[in-house]
Amino acid sequence: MRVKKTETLAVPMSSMIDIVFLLLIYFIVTMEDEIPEAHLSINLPSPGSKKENDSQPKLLELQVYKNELRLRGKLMSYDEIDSFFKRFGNMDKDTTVMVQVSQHARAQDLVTALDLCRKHGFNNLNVLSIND
Amino acid sequence: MRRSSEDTLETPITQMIDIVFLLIIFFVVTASVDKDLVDDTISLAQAKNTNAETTAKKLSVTINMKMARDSQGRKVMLGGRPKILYNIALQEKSLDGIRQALQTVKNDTGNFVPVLIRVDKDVEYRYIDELLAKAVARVGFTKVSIVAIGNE
Repeated sequence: MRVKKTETLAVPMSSMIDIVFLLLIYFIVTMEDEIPEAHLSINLPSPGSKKENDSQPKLLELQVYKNELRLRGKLMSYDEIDSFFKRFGNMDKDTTVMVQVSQHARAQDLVTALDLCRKHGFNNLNVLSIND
Repeated sequence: MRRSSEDTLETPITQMIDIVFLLIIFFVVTASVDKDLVDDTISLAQAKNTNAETTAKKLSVTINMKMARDSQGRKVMLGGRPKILYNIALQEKSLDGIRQALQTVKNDTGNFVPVLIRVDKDVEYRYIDELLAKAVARVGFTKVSIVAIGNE
């Protein structure tokens, strides 16, 4: 039997749509939200000896304990340190922040402190541990 | 039998779908291998003021670090301290194994490669300090970043 012209040129759309839908469902089901990862850079203590002609850098000392932050040894809330950094940060962004971390502080406490420093533009962050 | 001119004009849809399927299978398999290298079991700390990285670092070493937990989610203790698990690209390693892996990276590419530490938010700093002192700084890596969940 001779095949009609209209039948031979027709693309099998319904079966193709079936496959496309199956693929779409597969990708939607297997898709996972990507976690937006931020990288908080820190400086490790240098193993080399201190140079004699080094000028004294401007320093801020931030102590990190479990669930608490101290600025130059004084216990302060997150908001108090935030407003202090806001005033200080307007003066000098090149200040080195010495982040001294207690052995018992959690990673979240350290990240909170580093995040606060980054918020105010302090990028020179040295992390040291406190032996307590 | 002589074929009609209409038959020769038909699009070879079957073969095309075969090729499309092969391509899809290839991309699905390779994409899942790439995704599996990220340790999704780590609960990262939150950094609400820091923007998330928009582009992946071309060359970096990522160390995953978490507390071992039993089937009920309790910490596994070992010698009076929580057992800490380390892995690089899901390859579980000891602290010494991490140091050796970093040494290999240093020998091959140098110590300018950034080291990213993906650490569970509940891990105490003393264990991060131990990793830094006994592996990262000891080998000579100085570019270190702590990974957290940032702003999109």
